[in-house]
Amino acid sequence: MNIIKYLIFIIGTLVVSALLTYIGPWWLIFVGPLLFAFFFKISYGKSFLVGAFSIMLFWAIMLLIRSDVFVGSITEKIALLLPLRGSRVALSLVTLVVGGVIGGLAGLNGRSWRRSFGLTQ
Amino acid sequence: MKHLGTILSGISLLILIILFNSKWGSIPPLGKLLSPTHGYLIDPELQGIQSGFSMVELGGLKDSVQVYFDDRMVPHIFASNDEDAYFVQGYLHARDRLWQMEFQTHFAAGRLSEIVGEKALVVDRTNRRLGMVYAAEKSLEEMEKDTLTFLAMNAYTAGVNSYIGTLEEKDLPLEYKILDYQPEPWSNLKSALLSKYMAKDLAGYDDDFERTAVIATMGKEIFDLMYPNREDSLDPIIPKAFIPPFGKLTIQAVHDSSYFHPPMPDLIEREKPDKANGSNNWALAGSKTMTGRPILCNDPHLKLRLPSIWYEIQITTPEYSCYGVSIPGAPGILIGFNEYVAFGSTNAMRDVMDYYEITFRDKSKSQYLYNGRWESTSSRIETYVIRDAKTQADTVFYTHFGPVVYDENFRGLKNDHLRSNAGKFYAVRWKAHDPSNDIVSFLLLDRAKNYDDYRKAIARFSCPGQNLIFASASGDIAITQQGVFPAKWRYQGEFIMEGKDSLYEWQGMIPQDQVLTMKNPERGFVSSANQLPADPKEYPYFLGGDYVYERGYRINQILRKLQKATVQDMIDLQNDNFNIRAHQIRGLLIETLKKRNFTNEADSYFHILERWNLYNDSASEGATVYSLLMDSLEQRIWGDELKKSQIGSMPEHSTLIQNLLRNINFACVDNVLTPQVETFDEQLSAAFLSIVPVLDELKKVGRLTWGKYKQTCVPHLMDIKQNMSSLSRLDLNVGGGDGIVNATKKSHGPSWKMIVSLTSPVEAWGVYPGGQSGHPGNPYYDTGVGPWSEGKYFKLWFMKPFEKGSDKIIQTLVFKP
Repeated sequence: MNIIKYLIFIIGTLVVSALLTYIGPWWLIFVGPLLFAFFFKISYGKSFLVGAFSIMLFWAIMLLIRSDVFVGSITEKIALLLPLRGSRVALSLVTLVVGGVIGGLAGLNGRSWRRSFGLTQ
Repeated sequence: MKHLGTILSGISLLILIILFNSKWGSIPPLGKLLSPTHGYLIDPELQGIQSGFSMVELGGLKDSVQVYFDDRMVPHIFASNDEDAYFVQGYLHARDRLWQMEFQTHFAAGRLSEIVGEKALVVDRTNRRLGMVYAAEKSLEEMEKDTLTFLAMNAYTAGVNSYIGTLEEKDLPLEYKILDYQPEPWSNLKSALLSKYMAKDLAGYDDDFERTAVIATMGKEIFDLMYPNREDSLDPIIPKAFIPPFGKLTIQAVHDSSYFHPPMPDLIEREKPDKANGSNNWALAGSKTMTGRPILCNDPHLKLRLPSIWYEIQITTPEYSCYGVSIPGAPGILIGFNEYVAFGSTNAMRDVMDYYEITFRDKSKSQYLYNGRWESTSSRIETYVIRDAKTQADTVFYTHFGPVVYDENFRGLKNDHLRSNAGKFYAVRWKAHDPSNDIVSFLLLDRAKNYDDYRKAIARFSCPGQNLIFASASGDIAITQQGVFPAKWRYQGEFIMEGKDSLYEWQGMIPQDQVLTMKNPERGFVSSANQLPADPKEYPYFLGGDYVYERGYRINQILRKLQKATVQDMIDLQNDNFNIRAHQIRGLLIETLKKRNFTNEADSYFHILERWNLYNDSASEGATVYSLLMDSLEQRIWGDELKKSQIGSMPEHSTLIQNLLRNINFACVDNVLTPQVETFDEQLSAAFLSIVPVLDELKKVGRLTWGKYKQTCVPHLMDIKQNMSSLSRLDLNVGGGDGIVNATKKSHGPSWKMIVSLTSPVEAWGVYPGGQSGHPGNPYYDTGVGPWSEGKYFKLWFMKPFEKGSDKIIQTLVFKP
């Protein structure tokens, strides 16, 4: 039962984020985790974790989709521009952390709003 | 509070999103930049070249235009009319170089602080107060009066905007994402600003303050030793035989000896273009070439940057077909060729910027003294929108000379350092402020078919003065120092002048029929490398300027001897590393140092210098020893004079050499700040001993060879410190240097090297240290850097209409209206 909830959360977030970031700015990734953590009954900790995970997954998938560009020279240049010593791995990690932090905080928000709107006992 | 947690988490989310969406200091907006949906991976120009055939619909075209890209992504444009050709040129310039175009024109417009914040404010104020925007506005007015120019600029601007219109925020070039801003629409004014950007680079170098400080503190005798006015010109561009017999000199010198005793100027440190902005060019007549047809060569020396200032392109319409380099930001081809002619330019180096001291009536600066009357100033309020800071305003007052660049509100680079209590006011008279059509000459040269077309094309070119070189397939070669130059009396403009009367004003311009030019000389070649255009004794007007003689001398030396010259001979000459200055002075250095006893360590360097073959090849250790020794010697000999003058600038390297050859212990050798009298012997030994530990260090880290020491690089336009390995090409191991035909310094040198052989069909070779695409990460970002560093050239493809099926074509792009 729980597994299905989380699966819906994650896949739902992927779909929502893909749609929203296609038509709007990058930061609309917060919407998915926030909505799902709002409508589903999940603990605070898990809201953060699943929220973070689903956005990290979303971005990881997008990186894979663009892997032909990712293995090119631009990635190394960005990894040199930032203090990452040209490491593609480090750059990927930083990228996923940025996304994950937003997703996690969005999930946390969803859970908090759920409580404030009186939707949970 | 039941909802405190919710509110806090909401606020933190908001803050986090804002943080990741904005720049923090020099850290780019991480969310925007890194997100795989909108960030650096999304640049459409990174998808690699779409080989094959694509079609793009562009509103604004009259007819369809075919563009063929070769293996260096050089576009060969085939259009049925001029407007469409310039439209597509604009579109492609924007597609490949938009950020560069905007950044450079923002610099010229004094708007960099809009992008990077307060740290650019001083540079912005310098450019606005120098009247860059004012100059661009006046030239634009002039340019739009000409039919062809108006047509070209409008079409070009429309093309650029057509491309910008296709961009969403996530499609923006990388630098916009890093610096976190967006492009604005292009305009004809921006193209005019670009031409002023070039004008400042080529005709904006000025030493009036610095020279005045030296003569005021040290006196004329020392001044003449430091900044000799080259009376003896070795090998001027136009030899005596080609100077028509002028009538009596009409420009009367009006100064008395007090002209050489000016007051000490205010100590203003100024942002300036690179003094070495110059170039080489030469053309050989058929009598001297293997093919019997002329060869024309040109290599402009500018700052080496990524993206390059140049963009290769070929434009073909039913009227003409021209190949060459263009400058992103303006239509046309500036250095290039068609099947009839080839053309290029070097910088004339003539002084067309003079400063005048202004006497205001009162603090309001609304009136200034001129010829015994109070004339009114006009004023212009310059507004600086500064990123992350308050907008600032600056009122600039204009006299009839030009803008008052320096007043109590603006003192140059060290803005708050009012070291002198006088606080004077300085206005600038700069030729670039006069209305001019800077573009039409090149549009006409692109279409030229013969010598007469060349003369007609260049006749309207006024600033910056250029040595415009020409060769035709039919056998003519020619060179003209073209420009509208002030007619000056001897020494006029060397110092800051009094502006309270017309005494020191420019009395007029040199008439166009007295401009220096040469056609088909018997010696079989024309050339220029920023040397004096003519022997000053033969020309009635003062040729004040910043000339150098070394490259011109060496080039002519070689060209004189050449018979049956081949393209390889031209390549060898453009890559020539011979060090003329070292050739002149090395004997004296060795003789003098020989008398001393050095340690083994120092002795080894002495022998390196002694055995050196006088070529600044990248593998040469002698070149490094020589260079460090001369730098150290110069500091010792001139340092005391420069210190006393406070803002004086270092004299030319050749000046030290010429003085030493005349008199080994000339006046400046002694360090006037010490009680004892130093001799050349002592100064040289001290200089030599001081560089030994430096050389040891270099040897230890494997950087004793010239190329490794010089660390030639091509930095990105954003890379001020020249160390961003992410976007710049660093440590290129290239030979050459200042005063050498291969004029490659650290990040300055031959920005384009071109050789054109006017055979039928025409053949040409070229290379520039950069790539057609300005998008870092695009495979064509830095295509030419490697080959250029190795002295190699690409064969340029002058594509013909019947070659549309050639396998040299990687991609075909058809633009439909």
